[in-house]
Amino acid sequence: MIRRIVQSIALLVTNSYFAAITKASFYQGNLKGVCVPVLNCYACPLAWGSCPIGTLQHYVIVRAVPFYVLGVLGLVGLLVGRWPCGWLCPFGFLQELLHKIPSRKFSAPDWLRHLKFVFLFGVAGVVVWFTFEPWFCKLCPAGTLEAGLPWLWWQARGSVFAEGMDFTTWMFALKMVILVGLLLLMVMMWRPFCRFMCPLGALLGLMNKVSLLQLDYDLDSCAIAYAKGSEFENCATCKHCSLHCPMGLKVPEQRGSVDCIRCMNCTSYGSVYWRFGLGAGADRTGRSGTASPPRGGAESEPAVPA
Amino acid sequence: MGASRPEGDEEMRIVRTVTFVLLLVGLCASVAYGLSVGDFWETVTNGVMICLTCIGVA
Repeated sequence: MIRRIVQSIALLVTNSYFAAITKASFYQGNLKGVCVPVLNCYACPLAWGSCPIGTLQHYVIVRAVPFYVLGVLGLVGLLVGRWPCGWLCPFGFLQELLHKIPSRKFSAPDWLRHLKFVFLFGVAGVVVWFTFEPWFCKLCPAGTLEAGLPWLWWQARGSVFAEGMDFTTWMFALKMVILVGLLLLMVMMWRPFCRFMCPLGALLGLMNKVSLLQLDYDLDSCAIAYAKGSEFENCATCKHCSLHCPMGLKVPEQRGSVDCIRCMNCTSYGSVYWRFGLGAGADRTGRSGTASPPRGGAESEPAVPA
Repeated sequence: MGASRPEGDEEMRIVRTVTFVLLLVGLCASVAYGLSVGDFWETVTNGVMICLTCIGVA
């Protein structure tokens, strides 16, 4: 619940230039120099800041080192790792909301999570280097949803900014196909874009191992194990935390991986807990002969399933 | 209580601290240098071109 509130606030904070609606324009002020640590398109009419991936591609095109953007992203990652993905990103928020739509749900092969590095270094790096065009931006579904469609509407309203834009190109059609396909996947699968495609998530995730924010593990505090008592064998057979992980990770083994978005869902049951610190942590994997009462997770008292 | 690993290997803690400090200093220097050479204003102005191409219509 707290995370939903934070996500809603973040959505508003990053996309609150409501004057764009009446003016059929978009914000072009100095705040555009701020790269928000989430995937929020520069071209979104309501957006105040810039997308860091779009900005990085610009620097690849002009053959300059993006000291400022990489520094900002690095600092965010160094402090909290991929936490912005789980708590701030509007596109991640959308994916979680769409996943709530009742439908048949699918899982995906684990190897697909390596694809986001192909998008980061390949599409947003090598391809941009050789073509001098921001190809990830051209294909980005977040850009299509937040910017492409609103601009189509702005053109219909006669916006001077949209004069000359041609929405009948094959490029725009391709963007729509990608967006619609991903929206369908989002209903059937946990966060497919975050898991398999997002270059920003890949970049922030690289800092998960060294960030101040870490997730540790104490089996003796697990509410599920306490409730199940002698019926609890081990985490691998229980899988309760893993089933609630929006990134499809095996909890607790993969809690610190590059794919962990620090959503803290797994801390609800007591065994996984967050901390700020540079120490190696106090992972406890053994079990006492008698289960001890669980302690609280990050957000609230651990939920013991019925 | 159950069996546990030692609470923080001292050597690992020192390595992590040194790594963290080096990264922190380096990244702060990167931001500072980027701001000094005008990266902030370049992001403000050149983002417009990214904007137009990114929605595939320019």
